[in-house]
Amino acid sequence: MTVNIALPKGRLAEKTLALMKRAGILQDVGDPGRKLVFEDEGGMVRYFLVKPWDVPVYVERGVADIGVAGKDIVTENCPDVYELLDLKMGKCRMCVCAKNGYVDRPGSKLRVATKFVNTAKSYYSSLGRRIEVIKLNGSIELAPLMNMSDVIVDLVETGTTLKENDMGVVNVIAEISARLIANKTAYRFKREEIDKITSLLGALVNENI
Amino acid sequence: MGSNTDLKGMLEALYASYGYEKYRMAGFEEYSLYLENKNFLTSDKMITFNDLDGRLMALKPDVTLSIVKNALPRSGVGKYYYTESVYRPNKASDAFRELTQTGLEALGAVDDVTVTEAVELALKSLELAGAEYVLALSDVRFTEGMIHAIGKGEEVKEHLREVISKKSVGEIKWLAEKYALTERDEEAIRAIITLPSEPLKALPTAAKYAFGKEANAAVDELKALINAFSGTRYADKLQIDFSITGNTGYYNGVLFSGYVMGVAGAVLKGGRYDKLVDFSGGGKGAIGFALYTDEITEKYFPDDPSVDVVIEYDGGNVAELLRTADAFRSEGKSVLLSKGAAKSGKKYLFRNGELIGK
Repeated sequence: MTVNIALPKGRLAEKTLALMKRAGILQDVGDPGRKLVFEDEGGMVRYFLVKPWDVPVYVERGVADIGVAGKDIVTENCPDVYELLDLKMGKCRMCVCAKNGYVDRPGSKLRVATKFVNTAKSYYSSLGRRIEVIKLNGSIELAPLMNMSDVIVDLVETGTTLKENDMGVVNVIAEISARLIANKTAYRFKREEIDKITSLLGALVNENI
Repeated sequence: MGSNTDLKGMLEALYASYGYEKYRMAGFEEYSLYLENKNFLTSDKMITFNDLDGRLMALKPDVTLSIVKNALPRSGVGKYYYTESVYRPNKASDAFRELTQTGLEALGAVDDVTVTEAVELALKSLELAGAEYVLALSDVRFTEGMIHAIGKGEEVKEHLREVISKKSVGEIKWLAEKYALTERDEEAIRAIITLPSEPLKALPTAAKYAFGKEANAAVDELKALINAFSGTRYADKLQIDFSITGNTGYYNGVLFSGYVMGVAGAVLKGGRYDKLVDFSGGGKGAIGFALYTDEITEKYFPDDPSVDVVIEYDGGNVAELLRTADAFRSEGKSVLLSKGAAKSGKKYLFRNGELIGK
């Protein structure tokens, strides 16, 4: 049976496609151009490119049998899917960051700017800390610089943007990387195919460590 | 394939044929019922309102709690089935949605026969969808036995439950390093997550990693269930999967999830939940399941919008037009009267008070 795979558009898709080719899961499909759905010649997989935040939605709703999604997005949305493999790509950290010199007052309400609202709420709830979440969709670092928030919760890859804006990491909430996720129904009916893909990718991922 | 109502009708007829009694309930209950048992529910978010006497009420998010509250027998076993709407938050649209559940509950003197019969009814319910299906079995005593045997604090236990329920093989090593798990622990978690789905291959592995009396009892009960359906048409529909978990404050035995090809996510969920009914320690038991029929219906029992005959009319003798339509209906055909162009069907024209043919 053909396995439908949802991949996030962008750098991660290129890396995943390269990994899948190396693993022999799919052939070279050439220049994708503006196409959104790609059939592999061998008929083992069909894959499509979607926005990174939408990958878990496609997988949870069964349009895709499996998909590649960042752990940040999986944690934020809590989709009802299996998380079969850590692909060890797209590595970064989910961090609390603030302006250099920022001093936290534990008794006060903390203003937290973030795109990851659920992650921030869950983290501060585990600490028993009262917060006000300010949902932003981009340029999160601007919020403390303009005194709109005390801290931000965001992904940090190299830390360059933080440094350039006189900011730093206060706490690391979680290590992030790309995960292979699977729809629970598809896993029942296409287990052999999905296990094969997981095992081929797993072998390569572990080889690269 | 039948019409929308056929699936519910077939399910209810099935449960009635096993002596289950139809249970009807009000659309809402006091909010406190759900608040006291919020861990039993899939979400603590509910649609609430104040009744005229000031009591805080909720549109029911669950059926089981209402049945247990009202129908737990003093002795013997009470067997009930229902078809009800429940109201739950829909994460995808960030709004509440109405879901149709058809299910059953057996309460009171629940024994092996009741449990096996409930699994049989779950299999037969899935079969009625008319598509490929699977019923995956688990047991909360098995996974909890393993988690307790690893013997770490509550934070580690929560992590272990998450890793098992998400089948996160990739997390095992990280977990082992972070919490100083032994090689044996690591091996056991890996074996359980990657367990083959075929029961005859899965159960020997499960037996090897069954820690404690309760976990061993769970494996024995799963074996007995598998044996009960051996040689039947259901034998290859059963799988063993310990990623199916339930709240240990309520569930105490077998758990099951049903899947139908083409419908995303489990369409049937159930299990043994003695802890919800045995609050006085009197040895009462309970088992039940709910089938979420909306998505099965959409996929496999779509409404049939077609009609057999369409009569396009332009006025004229109304009484004659109605008589003409009835003549078709008496032949068992459905008839749509339409002024001007109408949807497809076998079309007839009614002009100047007469049916003048196609």
